[in-house]
Amino acid sequence: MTTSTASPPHSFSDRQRSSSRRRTLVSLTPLIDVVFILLLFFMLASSFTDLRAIALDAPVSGTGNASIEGALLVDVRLDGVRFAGRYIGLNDLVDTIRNRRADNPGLRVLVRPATRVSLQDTVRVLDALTVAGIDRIALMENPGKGRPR
Amino acid sequence: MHFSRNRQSQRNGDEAILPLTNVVFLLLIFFMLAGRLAAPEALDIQPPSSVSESAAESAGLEVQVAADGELALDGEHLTLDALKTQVRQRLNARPDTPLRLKADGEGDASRVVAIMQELREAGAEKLRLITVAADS
Repeated sequence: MTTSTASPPHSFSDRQRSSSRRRTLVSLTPLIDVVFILLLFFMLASSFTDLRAIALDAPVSGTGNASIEGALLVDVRLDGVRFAGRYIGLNDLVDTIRNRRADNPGLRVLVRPATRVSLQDTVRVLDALTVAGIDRIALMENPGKGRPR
Repeated sequence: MHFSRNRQSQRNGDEAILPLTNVVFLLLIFFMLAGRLAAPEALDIQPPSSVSESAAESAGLEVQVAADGELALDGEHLTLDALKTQVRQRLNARPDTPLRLKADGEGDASRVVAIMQELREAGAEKLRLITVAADS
């Protein structure tokens, strides 16, 4: 029978020996049980979808109509994207907007989706505008439409 | 003699599962750091995919718009008027709260825009549209 646990430790090596003896007595199994449960919880509760965000301006900010003037209007319709009075492909839209932006770096663009256009199509246009370098994009309500239900 | 041999075998048993413990700990740390805890969602929403670079922050209010136009705020079903009231109350309490709009990609964009307009009337200034990263 040893006396190391009963008597106060006299030297560093003595204390170290007693703690190493205690460590062998503690079983790892309950720890692993708890860790497994934590692991299961985090595996089931966490989601890995990579969410992104698009910042949207207000189409009419406090300055009133001044913010609409000088802004470009892009219409998204069921049959295509309309800009400056004609239908235009997304690649042409990027080129055109990029040219306009070269003249006017603080350019604002309003995007106006028509009724029944899906949000995915609208976001595709927003992406094209972002690629063209526009950072002030606003979504605008279709004037021909009343309040939502 | 007999006691010491017994303890020897137990130590061997513990040492045998040490690699397992290491791996499980690594997995645990991976899931803790890499995954975000997802709040329970009231509506089934597939956000539109985009090439947007900015990551979505999880702070602030989340307004959800399902494909059929149903609304939810922080996991709770609401009508549009109730949503406006709630948003206005919360923005009054904490003015600079950012608002996330999580809308289904198949939904009607003009309805989402109309809801955005209503939220702006309710006082929302920082509005972000949530999308998922395009897998290209």
